[in-house]
Amino acid sequence: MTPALLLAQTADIDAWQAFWQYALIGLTNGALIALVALGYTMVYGIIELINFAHGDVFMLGAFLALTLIGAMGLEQAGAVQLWLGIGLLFVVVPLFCAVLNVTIDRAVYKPLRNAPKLAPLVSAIGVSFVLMNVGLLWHGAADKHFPDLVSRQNLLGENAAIEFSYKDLLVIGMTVPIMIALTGFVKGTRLGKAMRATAQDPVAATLMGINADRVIAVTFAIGGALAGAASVIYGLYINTVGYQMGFTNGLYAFTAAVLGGIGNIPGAVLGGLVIGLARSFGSAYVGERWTSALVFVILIAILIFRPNGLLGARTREKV
Amino acid sequence: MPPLLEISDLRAGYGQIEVLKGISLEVQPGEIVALIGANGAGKTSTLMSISGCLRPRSGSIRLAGQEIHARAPHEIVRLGICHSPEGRKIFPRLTVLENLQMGAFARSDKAGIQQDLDHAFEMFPILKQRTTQAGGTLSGGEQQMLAVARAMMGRPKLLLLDEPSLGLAPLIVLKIFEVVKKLNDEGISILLVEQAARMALKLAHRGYVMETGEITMHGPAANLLADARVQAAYLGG
Amino acid sequence: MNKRQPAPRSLTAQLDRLPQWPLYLGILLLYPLLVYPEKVLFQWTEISVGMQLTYIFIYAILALGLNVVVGYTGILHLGIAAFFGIGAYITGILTVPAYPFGIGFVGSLICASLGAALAGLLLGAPTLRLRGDYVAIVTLGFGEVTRFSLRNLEEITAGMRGLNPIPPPTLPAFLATPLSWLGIQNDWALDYRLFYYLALGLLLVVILLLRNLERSRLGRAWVAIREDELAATCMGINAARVKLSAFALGCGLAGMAGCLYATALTSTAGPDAFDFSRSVIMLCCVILGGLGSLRGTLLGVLLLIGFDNVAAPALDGFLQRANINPDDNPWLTFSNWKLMCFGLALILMMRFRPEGLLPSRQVEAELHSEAQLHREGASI
Repeated sequence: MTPALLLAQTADIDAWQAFWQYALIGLTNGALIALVALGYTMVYGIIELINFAHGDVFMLGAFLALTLIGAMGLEQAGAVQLWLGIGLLFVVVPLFCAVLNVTIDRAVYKPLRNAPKLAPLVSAIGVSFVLMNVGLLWHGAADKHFPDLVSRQNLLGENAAIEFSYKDLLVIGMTVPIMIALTGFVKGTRLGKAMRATAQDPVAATLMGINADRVIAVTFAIGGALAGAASVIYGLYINTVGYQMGFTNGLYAFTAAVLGGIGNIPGAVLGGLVIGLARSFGSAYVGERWTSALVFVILIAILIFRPNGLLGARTREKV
Repeated sequence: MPPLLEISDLRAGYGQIEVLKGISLEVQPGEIVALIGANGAGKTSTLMSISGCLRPRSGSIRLAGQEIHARAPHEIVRLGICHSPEGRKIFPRLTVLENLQMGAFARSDKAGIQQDLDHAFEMFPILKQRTTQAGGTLSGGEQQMLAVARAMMGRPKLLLLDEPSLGLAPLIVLKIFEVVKKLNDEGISILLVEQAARMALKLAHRGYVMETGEITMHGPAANLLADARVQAAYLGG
Repeated sequence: MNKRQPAPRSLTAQLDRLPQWPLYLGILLLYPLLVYPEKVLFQWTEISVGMQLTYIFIYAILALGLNVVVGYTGILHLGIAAFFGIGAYITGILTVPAYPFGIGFVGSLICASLGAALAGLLLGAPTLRLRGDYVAIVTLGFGEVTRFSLRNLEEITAGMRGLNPIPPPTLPAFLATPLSWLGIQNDWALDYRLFYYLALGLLLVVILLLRNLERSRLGRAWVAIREDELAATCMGINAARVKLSAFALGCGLAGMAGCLYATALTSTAGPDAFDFSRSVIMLCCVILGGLGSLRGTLLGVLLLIGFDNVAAPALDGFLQRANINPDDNPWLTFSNWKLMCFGLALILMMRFRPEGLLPSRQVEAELHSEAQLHREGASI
C-alpha cells in the first residue's frame, strides 16, 4: 500500500501514470487475495461451509515461514542459498497448511456433516479463534517484520514511470501458474471431475462410486496448500505479519469468493482481482483508512443485489 | 447358486419413523424385477438401502451371497450395483460426456469404458448429439436417458432404476423401457421401481407389491397383472 | 410402558433441581448491601466483583438481545457488537459536554435503544431474505464497517479515544434518601452500587419483557421461522416481517446495553471495544447457555463474561503475585489463552451439546430427533 500512498503525494506525476500504477498494485494484491479466495470457494462448493478458519490457516502458514526463515538464517544467506531456501518455503509451508486444513476438517467439521447448517459455521468460528490463539502464543501480539528477502529493484529500469519490482514479479510468477494448474486439475483430471460432481450433487456422486469423504479431504488439502503458498508470497511481498492478519485477509478473500459467485473457481480469481483493484484505487482516491470499510460495503452490496456473484448462478439451496 | 440380490427382513427408517418394516426380496441373475406401490410405500428407500445410502437397522442385503449392507456406497458401486436415482440427479454443470464418464468412475479399464460409451450412444443416439452440452440444459426425457446411460457406464451386474417414467411423455417412456429390455437381454439384471405399474409388470419377469413399508404380494409379473387386487389398486381397475 | 424411569442424573436435571430464580435474585439484590463478601472477594481477586457484576448485567442484556435473533429466530447474527457500539456512541453524542445536546441518561437510553433498533431495521430489511450463511456474513461485514466508521469519523466520534466524559444519571430525590439509609451514597463515581442496581433493574425489565414475548403470538412465530421457514410461510406467517421484528428488537436491546455500558464507563470506549471478537464472545454466551433459552443465556453470560472479566484477570494477578511468571512469558499469562477457551467452547458445544447447558425444551427435542434422523438417513 505504501507505494500507492507515496505516489499519491507526489503531485507532479501524471494522473494516468499513477492510475496504471494503482492498477498494477491492485492486480498484484488481487492475485494474492484470489489464492486465498480459492480455498474458501472450493470448500464452500463441496460442503457449503464458510470455512471461517481458512484465513487463520493462512496466518499460521506465514508464521511458519517466518520461523523457518529465522531457523535457516536466510536473511544472511547468499543468493543461491536464498533461492533454495525460498523454494523450500514454497514446499514446506503449503504442505503444513494442507495437513492442518485436512486435520481441522476431520476433527471438527466431519462429525457435523449432517448437523443443521449453522453448526459447522459456528465451529469454524471456534477453530478460527483457536488458531488465532496459537498464532498469538507463537509470535506474540504485536505485528512482526517479515524479512525483506526479495529485491524491490524496479525491473522496468531505475527511472521508469511505472514500478514493477522483483516482488511484483514473484507474486504474478507464482499465482498465475498455480491458478492455471488448479484449473487444469479441476477440469481435466478424474479427481477434479469427481470434485465437481460432488459439489453439484453429493448423493448422485456417491452413487457413481465416488468416495465423498476422500474428495472432501482432497478439497481441504488443496485449499490449505493454496493458502500456504499465498501466505509465503504475502510475507515476502507485504513484509508485515501478525496473528490477526488471517481475519482481515480472510474476509477480503471471502468477499472475493462471494463477488465471483461462491463455489465458482474462475469467479474467485475474478473476485480477487476486483477486490485488489478496489482496495488499490480506494486507497488512492478515497483514502487509505477507508479501504477496509469499502471492501465490506462492496460485500454487502453484492450480497443484496447480486447474491449469486458476478459469474452467475452456481449455488444450490436445498429446500 | 445364490440369488444375485437377496434382501431378508430389512428394516430401516428416518428418525422415529420406520419406512421399511422387514422386507424380503430377491433378484435372480438375468431377471427384471418390478417393485411397484403407491407414493411413500418405501420403494425408493429400498433402493437407497441397497446402494448403502440408507443404513439398515436390521436384516441383511446380500449380493451373490456376500453381505453388503455394512459397506459404504462407493464400495457397493465397485461390487457391481449401479443406481439411476429418483429425479435423475444429473450433474447439471458437467457436460453429457462428463456425466457419462462419472458413471464409469469406479472403473479403470479405458478400452472397456470407451466401448461402453459407444454402446450408450448407440442406445441413445440423441445423447451423442449433445455430448458437449451441460447436463442441466437437457430436456426431461434426455436427462432420464442420460441417467440410465450413466448407470450403464458402471457396467453393472445389477441395475437399480428408480421411476424412469416419472414426468415423461409416453413415447419417451416407451423408448426408455425398450432400452431397459435390451440391457436385460445383454445379461444385466434389473430391479425396477415404478408407479406406472402396468408397463413395469409387462416388462418384468417377476414383481413385488409394496404397501407402507411391507411387501404385500409377489409372484410372476403375469400373475400380478391378472390379479384382481393389483388391478384395482394399481392398474386403474 | 409408561412407568416412570428414575430421572437421569444429567447436568440439566441436576441444575433443574436447584432452587429457582427467587434465590438468585435475592442473592443479587443483597450482595452489594453486605459489605463483607465484596471485601473478601476483593482480597482474593483484587477485583471489585460488584462492579464486574454490573458489567455482567449489561452484557446479559446484550446477550438476551442476541438470543432473540439467534436463539428464537435462528438468524446467525455476527455483528451484535456494532449495535452495542451504536448505542454507546448515540449515548456519547447526546450526553458529553463537547456536544450541545446534554439530554441526560433517560433520554439517551431511549434514543440509543431506538437508534440501534432503527439501524437494525435498515440493515435487516434488504438482507434478511438472504440465505442463512450469507446473513451471517452481512452482519459481520456491517460490524466491521461500523467499527471502521467509528474509527475514521474522528470529527464526530473522537476516533480511537472515544467520547467522554459521559455524565452519570441524576438520582431522583425520592430515591436518594432511602438509598442513603442503606448506606449507598449519592455519587455514581464513588459507589458502584448505584450502577449495579440500575443495570440489574433494567435487566429484570428486559427478562420480564422477553418472558412475555416468548409466549406471545410473535414469539411463537419467531420459533416457527427457526424451525422451518418454508412451512411457517405456508401457515401465513409473514417471514420477512417477523424476522425483521426479531432482528430490530435484538439490535435495540444491544443499543440499550451499549448506552448502559458507556454510561457506567463514563466513556464510549474506543471503536475496538465493539469488534468482531466481542460479537463472537456474546455468541459464545448464547450458545454455551442454550440457544433460545432465557436462563441458559444468563448462565452463559455469567460463566463466560465472568471468566473474561473476573476469573482470567484474577488468575493472571495470582500468577504474578506468586511470581510463577517473572519473565512475562506469554505462555504463562492466562489472558493469552482466552481466545483458545472461547474457540474450544464453541467447537465442543457444537459437537457434544448443541442445545447448550440449559436448553429450552423445544430446541433440545428438535436437535435430538434431527440428529437421529440424519445419522440414519444420509441425505435424501
